Amino acid sequence: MTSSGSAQEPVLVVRDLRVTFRTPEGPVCAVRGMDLEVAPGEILGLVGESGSGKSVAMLAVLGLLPRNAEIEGSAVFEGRELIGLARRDLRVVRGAGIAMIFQDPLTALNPVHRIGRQIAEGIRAHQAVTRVAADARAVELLNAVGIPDPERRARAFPHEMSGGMRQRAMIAMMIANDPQLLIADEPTTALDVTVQAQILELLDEIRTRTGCAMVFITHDLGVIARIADRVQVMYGGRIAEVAPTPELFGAPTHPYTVGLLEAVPGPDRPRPEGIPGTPPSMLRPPAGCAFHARCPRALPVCSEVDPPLLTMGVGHVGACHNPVGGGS
Amino acid sequence: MTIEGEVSGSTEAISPGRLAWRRFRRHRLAVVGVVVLALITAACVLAPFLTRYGPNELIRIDGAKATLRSPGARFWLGTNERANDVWATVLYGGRISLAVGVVTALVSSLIGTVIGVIAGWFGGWIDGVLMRITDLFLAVPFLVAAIILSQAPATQSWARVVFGPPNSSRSVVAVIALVFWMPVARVIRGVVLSLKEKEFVEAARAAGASDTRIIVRHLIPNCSGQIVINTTLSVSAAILTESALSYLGYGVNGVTTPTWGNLLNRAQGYIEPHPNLLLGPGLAVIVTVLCINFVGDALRDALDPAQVAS
Repeated sequence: MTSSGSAQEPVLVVRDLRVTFRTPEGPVCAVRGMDLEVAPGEILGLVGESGSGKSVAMLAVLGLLPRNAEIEGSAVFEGRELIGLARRDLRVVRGAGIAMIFQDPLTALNPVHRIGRQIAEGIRAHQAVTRVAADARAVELLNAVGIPDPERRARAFPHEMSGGMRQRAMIAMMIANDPQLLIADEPTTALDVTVQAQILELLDEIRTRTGCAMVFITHDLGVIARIADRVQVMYGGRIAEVAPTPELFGAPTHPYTVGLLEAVPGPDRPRPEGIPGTPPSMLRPPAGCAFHARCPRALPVCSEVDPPLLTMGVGHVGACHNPVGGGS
Repeated sequence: MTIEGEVSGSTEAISPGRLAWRRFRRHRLAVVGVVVLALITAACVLAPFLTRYGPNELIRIDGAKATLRSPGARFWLGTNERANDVWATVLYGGRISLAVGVVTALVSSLIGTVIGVIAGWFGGWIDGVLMRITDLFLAVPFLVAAIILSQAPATQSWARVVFGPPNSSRSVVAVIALVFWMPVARVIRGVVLSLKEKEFVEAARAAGASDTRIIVRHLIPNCSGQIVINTTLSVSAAILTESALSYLGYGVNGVTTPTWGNLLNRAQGYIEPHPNLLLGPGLAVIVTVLCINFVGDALRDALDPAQVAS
């Protein structure tokens, strides 16, 4: 797996990540061997439906999963192994090295604190600055994320702002400590479409200005097409396909990717079909390829042997025994 | 780049505090309660200026002890069996009763909040141990426990470290606080359990906040409504308990320090021809407790966390 022609060292390298939740019903394998890398200045789209393990994998990297989660594998951030890192050291990485933007800014902001104070709080958690300096920096940041009249807005409570402004404030909070990696977990899902476009534009601008890497988690391929340089498609806790964005949309090889693309409504597809069936239960992962039960191209081997990741093109890998176009 | 859905610029930001005050004002009885409580407190604090005699002053008229006089122009509430002015004893007694009520409520809320937040936030075995201790305290009949504890300093030297000298105000505060913190701990634990699942707490963790920072900056401020409500209602309950303990003779020493409770105790034998001895401190307790409860109920409506964003 190579990154999109970038010569720079990846800022985050995940290898064979496995996350298993111990539950009363038995172990749930949410992530079953995932690789991921993202380079400075690159936006990686992480796509998959609910339960595909995309969010869980990123939370595992940050050590934010509940205690019943067992994490195996490796996640190296700037030369430092994060899996198994002590809580104290991990806390320094969170926020300062890796920051996370959440889906719903209304619930991700504390309702009882003013916006400016919350941003200042995040700054003071990592930098030894006075409250006055942190408050001033918070106003600067609000200005930087395109909030008009930032001095007044810094004194507002979260419920007094619109959804788009709240998400801007959330982004301001997350870039406050100049992280090298931003993880955005469906940051536009809770917003309406026009606001969504503005937030994407802002994230793109932040990437250009700061050169940080970004992992953009979403199930919305439209969003991916706009913002991501490279896309990683997840299914059943495993990688289905990784490709540069134009290639993924132009020449998808995994039947699941093809199904996803066909499920997006378009001028020629006003009523898309969707993929029949439901995702597999991770309580009892199926043998072979996780997608075989729903796959129109399934072969007998698909229900027995888990397909390895095969090279499909430059920077393009897929896990399929019977890829669309036969591979290259 | 323009911003959609902008809140109109002329709308002045309304703080949660001001919203709460608006909702509080809707409760007429609570507003009346605040005024009455302020008057009672002021009267107790300013007792020296509002009374002609000290609370323990032996009053003689023409050389004879003025015991058990009826209420009149000179003695507004009459005099008692020790020839003290009842009006003075009620006002001075209120100082102790109110102070004991407020301090007890604060101490028990503090204990309850600390235990509740720690149990709720850390969960697991810490939660288990703390909640079983809470259950244990709840399983003890509290008046009996309070009576036994209040007697401890008289014989046990270790108890004096915590409770101070026997029958002092401090011992009453400590004793009542020890049997009062459990409901607060349970309520706060419940609130923290629900807060824990909120995204802003996860976001704070994702931003690298420590446990202490999350507890101080995120959990406790979001519990403050519940803490205020419970503390307020604890004040009235503590005043009642102080009265009950003192009435039974296990509270503050009635010979040196009058309180509403021990005044009631002393009034016992004289109720038949002299109901004024009972009515003075009795009404003071009833009116104070009623007012605090009105205020507490209004606060509950005003500070309901579910309405913060309304």
